[in-house]
Amino acid sequence: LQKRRGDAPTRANETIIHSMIMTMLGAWGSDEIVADSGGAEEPPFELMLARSQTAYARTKGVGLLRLESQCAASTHLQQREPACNPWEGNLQPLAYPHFHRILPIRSAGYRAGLRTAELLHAKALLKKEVGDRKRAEEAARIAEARFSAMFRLGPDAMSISCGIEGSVIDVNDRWEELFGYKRAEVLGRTVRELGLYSGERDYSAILECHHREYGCIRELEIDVRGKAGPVRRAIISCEGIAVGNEPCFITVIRDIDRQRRAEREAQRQRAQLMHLTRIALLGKFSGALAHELNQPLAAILSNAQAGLRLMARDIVNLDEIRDILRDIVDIDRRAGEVIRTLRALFTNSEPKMQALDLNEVVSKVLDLAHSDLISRKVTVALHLQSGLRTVRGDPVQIQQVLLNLVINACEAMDGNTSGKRRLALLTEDGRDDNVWIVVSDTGPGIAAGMLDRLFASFFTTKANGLGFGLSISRTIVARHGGRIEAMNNPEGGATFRITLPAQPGARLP
Amino acid sequence: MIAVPTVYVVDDDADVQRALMRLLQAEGFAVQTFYSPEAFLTYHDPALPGCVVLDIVMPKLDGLALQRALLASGHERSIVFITGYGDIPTSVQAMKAGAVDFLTKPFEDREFLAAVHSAIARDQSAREICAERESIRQRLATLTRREREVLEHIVTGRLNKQIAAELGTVEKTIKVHRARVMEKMGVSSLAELVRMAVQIDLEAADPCEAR
Repeated sequence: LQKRRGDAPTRANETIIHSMIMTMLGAWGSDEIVADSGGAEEPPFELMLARSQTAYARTKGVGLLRLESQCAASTHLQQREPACNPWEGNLQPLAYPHFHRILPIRSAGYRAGLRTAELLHAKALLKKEVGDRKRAEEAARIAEARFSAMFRLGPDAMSISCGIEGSVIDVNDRWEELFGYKRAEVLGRTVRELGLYSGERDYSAILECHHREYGCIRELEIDVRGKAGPVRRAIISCEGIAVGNEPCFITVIRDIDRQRRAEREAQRQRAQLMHLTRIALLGKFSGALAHELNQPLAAILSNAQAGLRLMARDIVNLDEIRDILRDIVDIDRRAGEVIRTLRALFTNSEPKMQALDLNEVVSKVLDLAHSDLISRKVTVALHLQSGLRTVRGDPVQIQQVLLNLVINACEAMDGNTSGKRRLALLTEDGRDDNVWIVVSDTGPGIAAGMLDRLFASFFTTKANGLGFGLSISRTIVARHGGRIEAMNNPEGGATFRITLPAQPGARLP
Repeated sequence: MIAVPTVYVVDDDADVQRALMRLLQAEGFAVQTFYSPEAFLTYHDPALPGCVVLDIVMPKLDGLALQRALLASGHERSIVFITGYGDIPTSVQAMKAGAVDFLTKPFEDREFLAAVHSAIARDQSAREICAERESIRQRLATLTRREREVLEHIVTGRLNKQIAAELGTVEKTIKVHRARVMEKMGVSSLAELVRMAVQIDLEAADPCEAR
């Protein structure tokens, strides 16, 4: 900065500087500048302020700025609306050599313009806010209308209550239907007074929610009791809201009694169907089953009568008698096992999930089917993997599935010549922690296009079949977390594979 | 018969097999057991007297098939069928094919042993008939061709005169032939000779026919 010693500052200079400072929006106080003002020559000054304030025209000649600055400022001021578009530049005062800072120069016109802009902006904001409020009011009105419609017409029973004890403010029509109270009867009363929830635990859960500020309950299944008395199963949701300053709760109750009952009914019917399918299955070889039991009975009777004959002799060989008695005990036990298995298959009992040895399941099924297999001239190849992992399942249901597959396989081979009826049964530790039971036959296999439909209900290829066997089998296996698949063997015949998840860590000796 | 008759028990159920064996042994029979009809066909001795106790439901070859196989082989045996369930068509079939009895398990010992006894008796008489037939055949084989021709005419009831005319000889010659036939066949009356002829069925017993 070029330093110049000037005369004592004139009064006019001071005024201009002051005015100039006043035009500078909040930059700094005047003292700061005036304090060290020096003398100056007279460069044209009107460039800077002439456009806005004529009073300053007289101050022409007071040199404050260097020429470069004046030119830049002048260019700016010649623009159409300098006020709205302030010029900022390096204003180098000549008169005040010690004051050499970069100053934003803004004219008074700019201030006014700026203020106008501010006001316009404020107006726009205000206008927007008015619009927003209107819209918000409209939205609120719509929301309220919606809420009201939802409250009145919604499919669920709803109530609004206030206070931690939950005294009822409003209920909807569905609520009236569900509980059998009229709105007028319940207003102002608490849920406990009305005895709406039948379990004490339900109350505490719901009231506990009321105690918490804006607590909520999502889909809690409880029993509700209406005016007339019967308990119904329902799902309750509860949400805290503020109405005015008062904490309120909106409670939505969905009656699922019919749904639960339908589910129970469906389950009961499924069990019934499973049972009937099983009976039908057993009916298929009832003759063979009779044989299965008559065989041990015959052995027991003949043994006992032989024993009696031996004892009628003069010299009784006790060893012989002991052998006979041992045989009788063994045979009887085996027969008892067959009867127990049969009884379990015939009765419609609740499934009992337990650790299952699939090898044992296969053996039991073969015991049952033994005579049937013989009379059908089916030879059996059995491969039971030792040390097979156990699965979790109901023995009766898994036996049913397997029995069904065995009978299907046998029936499929009825058309074969008697030497070519071979049934293969094997158990194996499968991939991915699964255990497999595989049933293969040497029948004609499954016709193309039927593999997909095989497990559908009512699908059957048999003249007197109902088409439930495989469909039920699939349901059973799926409920055990497994699956059942059918495929054709490359060498002919069909193979069915049951896959069941192995119990972790459990392995048979 | 002097030899103790043997009862062949054919049943795939070891328990039943052992129980029946005890019962039969207590009754004084010799017993041989087989698990399958195939084993029985392979190992039994047709020359030994006795009968078969046969379960009708067995893998592969069943009881009825064994019965047919025995008939076809010419070593017929009297059979007592036993079965786990009374299936009427099967029992009818078995009885028609010559079964002695058809018992449904479980059965009483008396019933069973009675059936076995009657089967043994039938076997014995069959063996006796068989033996007699054999001896007749042997005697028949000693006849000359002419004597046999004469025999065939005698048993059809023709008179010596008629036979002589038929064979182009004189009645006296026929008389001599007739006396020779009676002597060789070991009979003293025409009635006896006719009974024998009926027993062996002369046509079937033609010596020219291979047996």
